[in-house]
Amino acid sequence: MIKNAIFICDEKDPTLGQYFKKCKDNASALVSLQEDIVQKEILSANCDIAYLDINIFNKVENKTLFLIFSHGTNTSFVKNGKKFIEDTINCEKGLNGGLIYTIACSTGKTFGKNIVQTNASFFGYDNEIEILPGLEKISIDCDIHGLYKIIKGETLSNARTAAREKYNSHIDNLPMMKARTLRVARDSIVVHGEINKKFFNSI
Amino acid sequence: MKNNTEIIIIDDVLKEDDPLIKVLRKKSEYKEIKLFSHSQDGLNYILMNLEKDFIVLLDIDFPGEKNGNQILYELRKENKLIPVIIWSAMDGSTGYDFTSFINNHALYYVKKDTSIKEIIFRIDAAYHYLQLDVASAINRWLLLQEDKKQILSVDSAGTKYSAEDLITEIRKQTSEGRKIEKEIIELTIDLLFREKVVMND
Repeated sequence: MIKNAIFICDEKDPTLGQYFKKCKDNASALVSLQEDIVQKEILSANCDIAYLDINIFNKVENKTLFLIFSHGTNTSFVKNGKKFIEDTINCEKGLNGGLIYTIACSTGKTFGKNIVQTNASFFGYDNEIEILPGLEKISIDCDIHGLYKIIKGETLSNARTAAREKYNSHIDNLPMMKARTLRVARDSIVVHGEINKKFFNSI
Repeated sequence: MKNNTEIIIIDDVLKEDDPLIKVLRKKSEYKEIKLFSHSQDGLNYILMNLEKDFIVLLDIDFPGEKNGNQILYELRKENKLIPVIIWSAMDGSTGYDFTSFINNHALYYVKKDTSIKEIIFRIDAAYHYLQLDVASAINRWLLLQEDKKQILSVDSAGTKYSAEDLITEIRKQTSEGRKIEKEIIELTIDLLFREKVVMND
């Protein structure tokens, strides 16, 4: 079972920094439901390939839950357009057997698939996600619902199903012009790796 | 009354007392039938009233003025949704090249010696198209919004689009406009298949 959680958050991003921070704070509260998890935070100032390599990925001893709140592309996590977690080369040691949970756009497409080679698993999105003004609370609720289920001891596969249902509960009660963005997000949720494994004890 | 749709006829030969105009005004249910003898006048009227629903009957040949081709091209720069029926004495046998009309999304071609019944059939078909076209439906919905400054979309670069902005994006069928259209269609299908929307007989 995972005993460490590392939060990586680009809270200074000019467009979504505050959103990323709120997601991170809510996620941190959820992770606290598992009492013996040690939490560590990496914020914008240290969202940097070299820093993460030296101080995180080369030092991680145990299986770790990485929670990443930033922008993303198919192959990397980015801050101000600059990659700070690029591929499995950066994090092969640190991710070994661990889990990445992220709200970053598109990272599930290539990055999430590739990290399976390091025995890691992935929960995130494989498409661009739109956060509409006025829908931030709902989006956060949906974005971290999968994490809630994982922390409660569900498998990645069940967590994905629950996250989709959470999206549906909001989609069905919103005007279509707004609900369309949640539908896109719902259908972009992907899981890779050990999707039928429980990473935490049931609580 | 067929919604608020206006029929715009742009033709330099037709007169107000032409049987086609009379029949359309007397028997059809369109809100208004407007005739423009000068091509630029017809285009200006449409561009200044883009909040209205139009079906356009457009002649090709306007001696000394912009021809139908140019009018359609200029209209399409601002609005790709308005159904335009090309209405002309010319056809393939006259050697006229209709390629640009097709590329600028003319909906139908009607020859001038076609019966009034057939012309009205084409206009009604264009009206049907207008009602079923998703982009046109979204355009109408956006026009009904009281708060047109409300942000309804944010693209991947962080650009925000208000309802007012989206009206333009949808009409011009930009990538953002087409993205909205696609997502609304996909959501509709999703709601139908999850039985959240009931189709009445």
